[in-house]
Amino acid sequence: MSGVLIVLLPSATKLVKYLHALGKEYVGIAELHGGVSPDSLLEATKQFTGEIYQRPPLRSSVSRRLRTREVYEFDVLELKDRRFLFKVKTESGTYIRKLIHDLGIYLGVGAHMVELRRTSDGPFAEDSSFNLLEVAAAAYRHFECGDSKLLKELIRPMEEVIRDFPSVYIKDSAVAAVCYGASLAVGGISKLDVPISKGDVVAIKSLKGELVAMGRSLMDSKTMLSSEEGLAVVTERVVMERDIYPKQWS
Amino acid sequence: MTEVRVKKSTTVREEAETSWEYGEDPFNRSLERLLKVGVINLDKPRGPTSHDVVSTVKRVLKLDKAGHSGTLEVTGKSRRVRRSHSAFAVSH
Repeated sequence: MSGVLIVLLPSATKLVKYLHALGKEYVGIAELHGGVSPDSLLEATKQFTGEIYQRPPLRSSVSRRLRTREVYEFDVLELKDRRFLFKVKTESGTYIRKLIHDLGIYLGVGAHMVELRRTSDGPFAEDSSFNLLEVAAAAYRHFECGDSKLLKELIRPMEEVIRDFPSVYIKDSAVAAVCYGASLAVGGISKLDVPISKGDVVAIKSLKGELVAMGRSLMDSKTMLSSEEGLAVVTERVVMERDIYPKQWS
Repeated sequence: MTEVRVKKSTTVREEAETSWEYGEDPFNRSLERLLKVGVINLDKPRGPTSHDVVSTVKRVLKLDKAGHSGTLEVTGKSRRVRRSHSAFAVSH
């Protein structure tokens, strides 16, 4: 497989779980093992859109229990002889090779995947990706020529990974406590994205927009706006280094 | 579900100022900081494993730690077998 692979630099590796949870998009080529009419193929892809049952393949890193996954879109772009070009948008953790295999069984002829390319992973799409040669060239310019312009353009802030999660922006006085793992009290919040429901995964950010930690909301945004006390967000994963902001508790 | 999200709008609960004596603008970080807290949207070529590709990135950026977002290949025996039976690279 080729395509979008998000490389997380040291501190950003703490976000791997949140990136994993986001949807993926692929284009690929599959081969049918028998003749199938375009109409039957389209009908079959409709059957495999929405909530599907999938057993992870033999060689996989997860338990092989039957599980459900959501296929948001499954389009056939081209069909020629027994090969077809497809585009699929899925929930994280959907095995595309297995999806094609199961589609082949449903069609009664069998099918396998020939080629696959990930065109997006969460907020990152292939049109803003860089290949290895570009990364190597930018690194060379930086380390050997002292010109870091290219490298600075190529490395994105980790905040982009969690762009689609709602944020709460906290006062400077609350940052250090969260960095030390404390839950966020409602009084520490200056601004917040609405709506947030109780139990949502939220990004805890400084007023400058720096990601401090990821957490889970203990109240909805309405309560956060109207309450004077109580815990608003339980801290799940601290991302910011400790001691960047001064400690303001005693 | 992460696919469709309600358009967010930011609401003020209590006005507060931030001091620029500490912290940084996340969209204007120095390269030294980006190399610690950044991410690279890499277009992985067909062939090498995700692990190989991440190792290459780490090497050219002179880093000792980096992770990646998801396995972009089948690992282990099945990959070897399929490689020998097919002219195409394989993956999940």
